[in-house]
Amino acid sequence: MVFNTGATLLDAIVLAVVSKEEEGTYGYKITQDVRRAIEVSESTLYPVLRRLQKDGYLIVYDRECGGRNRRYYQITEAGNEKLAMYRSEWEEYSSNITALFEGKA
Amino acid sequence: MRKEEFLEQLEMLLADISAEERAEAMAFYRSYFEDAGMGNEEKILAELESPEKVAEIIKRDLGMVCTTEVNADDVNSENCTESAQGTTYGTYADSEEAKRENERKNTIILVLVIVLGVLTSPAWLGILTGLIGTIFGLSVALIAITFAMFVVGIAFVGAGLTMLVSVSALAGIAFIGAGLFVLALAVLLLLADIEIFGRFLPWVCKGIYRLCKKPFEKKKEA
Repeated sequence: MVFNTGATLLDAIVLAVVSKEEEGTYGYKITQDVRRAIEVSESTLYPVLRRLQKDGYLIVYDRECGGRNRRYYQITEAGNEKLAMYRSEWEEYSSNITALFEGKA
Repeated sequence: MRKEEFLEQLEMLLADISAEERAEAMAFYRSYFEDAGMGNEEKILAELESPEKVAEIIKRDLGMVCTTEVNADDVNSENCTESAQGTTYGTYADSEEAKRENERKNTIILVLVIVLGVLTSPAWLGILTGLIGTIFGLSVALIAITFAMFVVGIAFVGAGLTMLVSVSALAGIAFIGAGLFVLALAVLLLLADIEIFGRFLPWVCKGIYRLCKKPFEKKKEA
């Protein structure tokens, strides 16, 4: 991977990953899912999740799982709106670049 | 390094962030290890590299690493955010959070200074009371000497006057002269006293007062 993933794009990717699970998902699984799409070190995901939580795009709750609490992240209404915005922005951004690469622009 | 060891060290390294942020981060990483399962422990420990690196990334996102540059000037602040976003995915400094973190830090420093002040109070209280005592003692001595000289002068003049009529004119004049001389010295001393108590002492008191106030003013600025 030669391209850098900026902060905004990483936010969008994490929101997309979390939004896939209606009931919410947990840190380890989010990391694995994100890493299927992009290269990112494990330690960078926590600050992203924490920030999205503080901005009100994600909520955190603990759920009992096998005798211990597992920390779940779930997307909020605001998070879904933000993700929709990111999606349409990405649509434009990526299609512009693709068009340019293919000599259509 | 084992998982428990890693978490323990991470918690220690996060000692300077707020309790809430620390608890959040610790809950995340504890849950992370548990969800990964025993088999993946080694792999995750290797990928996280070190508690130091994880702690630094957490703090950078809280604005604790870049804070000074962000506030310093625009060029630096741009560099800071750029490098933060470019190399390490999404670590732009939340300036609001940074400010709160800074205020919290300042409060801790203030409390520490006060505690230190109270603990060392026997030393500086001793010096201060000694200084005040010395000044007070010298002042009393000065007033006493001035008063004594007036008394001596008046006594000499009085004695001279009696001698002038009862003993001999020469002895009387000599005593009156000595008495007037002492009185003149007393008047000079009185003028000096007025100067000292009117100007010098208030100046010294103000100086001590300012010295005592200084550390508090500094903290307000910080």
